[in-house]
Amino acid sequence: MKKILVTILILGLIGVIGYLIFNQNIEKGKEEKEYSIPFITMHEIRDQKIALKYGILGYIEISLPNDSSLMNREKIIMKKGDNIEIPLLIHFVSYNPDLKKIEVFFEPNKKINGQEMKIEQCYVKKDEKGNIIDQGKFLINELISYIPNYLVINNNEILQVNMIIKIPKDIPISEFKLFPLGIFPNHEQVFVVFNENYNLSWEVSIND
Amino acid sequence: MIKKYFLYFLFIFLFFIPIKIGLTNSYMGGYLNRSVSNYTKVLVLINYQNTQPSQIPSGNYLGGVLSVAGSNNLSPTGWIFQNPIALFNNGKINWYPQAWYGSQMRYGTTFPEIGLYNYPAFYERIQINSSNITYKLYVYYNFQSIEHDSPIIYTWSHSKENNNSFLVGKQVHNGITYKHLQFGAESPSIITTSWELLNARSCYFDGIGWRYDEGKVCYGTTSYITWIGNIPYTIGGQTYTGVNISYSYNDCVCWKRTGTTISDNSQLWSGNGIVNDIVNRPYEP
Repeated sequence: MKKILVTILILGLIGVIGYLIFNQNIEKGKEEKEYSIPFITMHEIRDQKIALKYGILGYIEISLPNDSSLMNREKIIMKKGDNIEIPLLIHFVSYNPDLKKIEVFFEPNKKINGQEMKIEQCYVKKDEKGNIIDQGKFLINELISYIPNYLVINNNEILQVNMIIKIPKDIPISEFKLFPLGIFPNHEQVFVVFNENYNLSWEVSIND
Repeated sequence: MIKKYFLYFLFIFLFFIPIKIGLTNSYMGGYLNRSVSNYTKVLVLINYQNTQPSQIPSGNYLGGVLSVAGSNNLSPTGWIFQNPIALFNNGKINWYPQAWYGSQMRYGTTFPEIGLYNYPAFYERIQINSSNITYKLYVYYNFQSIEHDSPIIYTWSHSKENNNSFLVGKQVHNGITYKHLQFGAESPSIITTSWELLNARSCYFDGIGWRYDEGKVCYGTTSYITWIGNIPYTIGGQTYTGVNISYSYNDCVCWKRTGTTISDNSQLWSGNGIVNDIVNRPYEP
């Protein structure tokens, strides 16, 4: 008698749980026949499991050397005609064993593999009476170059490049936003990310 | 005997256990309700109205996203182009333009810290020409930059692949209603504070002017945007529950997390026409 009761109880339990899960599975099955597109941030790119699911094969991470004078600085003050060099560390992480190394182009003023990045600062200049005397768009890319402007980097290797900022004497703007711009891995499925432990975006103020 | 049934039970349990594949985000969106047509420029304005960075939990973000389906004339190509910004709990905003072919992210980049939570306007624009898809973000960083129409303009472009236009409007395919141009709010997981996010000037360039149509709601589970073969693709994947609207009018909706969820497909605004704005740069040819 006890045996029969236990059997009925267990079968009943299996029946109820099985029904619930099976029903959920049918719903899930419906969902699995469609895909959702979440927008991908640097966090997901760094997560190998998530990244591979979306076809991402690795990333190039940009950071600063520990002795960088720009560590934790959000502002840079420069003068017209000044040059500064900002050392950057470039780290390649591959998720694909076949992708052992990668070429990286540092070209803020060129189109690489059909890709191009630009920052333009619109400006308006007024005289003492408030009349507009000049207005236009200034291309920030023109101020940026890198040494070297090309490198081959192995998986897990960290190499240094220097970002050069050159302020012309006739620059028409007095401040602009800057970050390492125009860095292109030579592989569509490898993406650039910025190490969030470092401040890699600066407000540049220009004194006369 | 009990051991035997336990093993049966375990087997059945493991057999039926659903395998969760991939990532879903919580999404509440809107779409322009018109018959499907193809155009080459789309745009939306984002503003984190009344939202404080402290309302965003660490490790999460509040995204404002414009999404559009790529097409070859009126045929969907399976490409999805997204122009999203994301607000983090340090008050900073990153830009993540990206292109998807089906479930694969084929192009993408990051522009870090392009703005702060209290900037008055971010205009997200996507356009296509004979060779490229171009994403633009017009950042108006204070009211003087609006008055002078002098934003910072961020641009990123990549190959157009087999697309020659974008689809705008909705159509039914295999019993599913697709909304090809969408705008909305998105987070990795639901942010339960009473945040607000404005989507305004939701529009496309029709060859003469920047036009909007009736606006309606879509959820992360009904946000079908395109298909490849028999497979439909949605934006986000989960409904951003608890999101309603704070207000709306023609071409504009302010999403607000109130705790009650607005009904799917409800009307955001009824009008249609040409957008009217106080700045011009985001609408330049």
